[in-house]
Amino acid sequence: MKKQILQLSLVALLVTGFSCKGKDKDKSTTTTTTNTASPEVAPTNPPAPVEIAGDATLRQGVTDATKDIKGLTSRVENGVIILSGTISKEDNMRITQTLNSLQPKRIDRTNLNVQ
Amino acid sequence: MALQDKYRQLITTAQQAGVTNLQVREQGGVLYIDGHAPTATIKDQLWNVYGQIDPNFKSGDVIMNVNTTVTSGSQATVNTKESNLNIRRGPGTDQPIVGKAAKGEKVTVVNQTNDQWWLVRSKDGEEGYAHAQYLSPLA
Repeated sequence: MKKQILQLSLVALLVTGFSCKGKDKDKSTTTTTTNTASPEVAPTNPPAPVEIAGDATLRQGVTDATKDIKGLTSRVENGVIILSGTISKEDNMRITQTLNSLQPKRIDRTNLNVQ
Repeated sequence: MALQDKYRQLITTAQQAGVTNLQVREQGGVLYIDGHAPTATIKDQLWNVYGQIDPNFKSGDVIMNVNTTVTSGSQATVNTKESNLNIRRGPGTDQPIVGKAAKGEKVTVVNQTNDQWWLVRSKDGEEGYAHAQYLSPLA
């Protein structure tokens, strides 16, 4: 009987001990996971800011791309390419691809009609 | 994140088509999509998807700078509307014209100077720089 009680208390002690250990282990695992996987806690590696070309480079590129497009007027201000006039869908597709590759901040098409 | 939702299909297409170094960033009300397309066909496909979401690219809320590499020595077709394509001494419309290639003519791409200007050789052997927006690379 005594032996049985002793065995039971040993088992109880072991179970309690293990469960406490288990909890600690869980905690440390969770902390580690949060640190490595969550982007919110990795401020040392933010996405690089977008590179915007200078106005002189943009002007040259815009001139080269739009020189032969009739009915189109363009200018460059603070990284923004401003287009106005009326152009065909085909010309629009053609110059839009080129103008995007020049790395402008934005292309303002408020006064551009595409027909 | 609103722009990324609007252009979700474009971003997904870029990811699935194998665009490398793909960067999608939203800054100042503009969605910037940068990367390198494995072929000119995939680049065209991306522009078609973009045009379906935003017809004629009217909104002006995307800058998509996805380029592609043209192999030196490969052929490209002149896709001008009707006129001849000018071949110039240097990469710029301020450079003197040293040759011309007709619409539909095939030229050899000697090298891809940058995304706008390629060094080409016409069938007559004239070598110089032509604007890439008037050239369609042949696969």
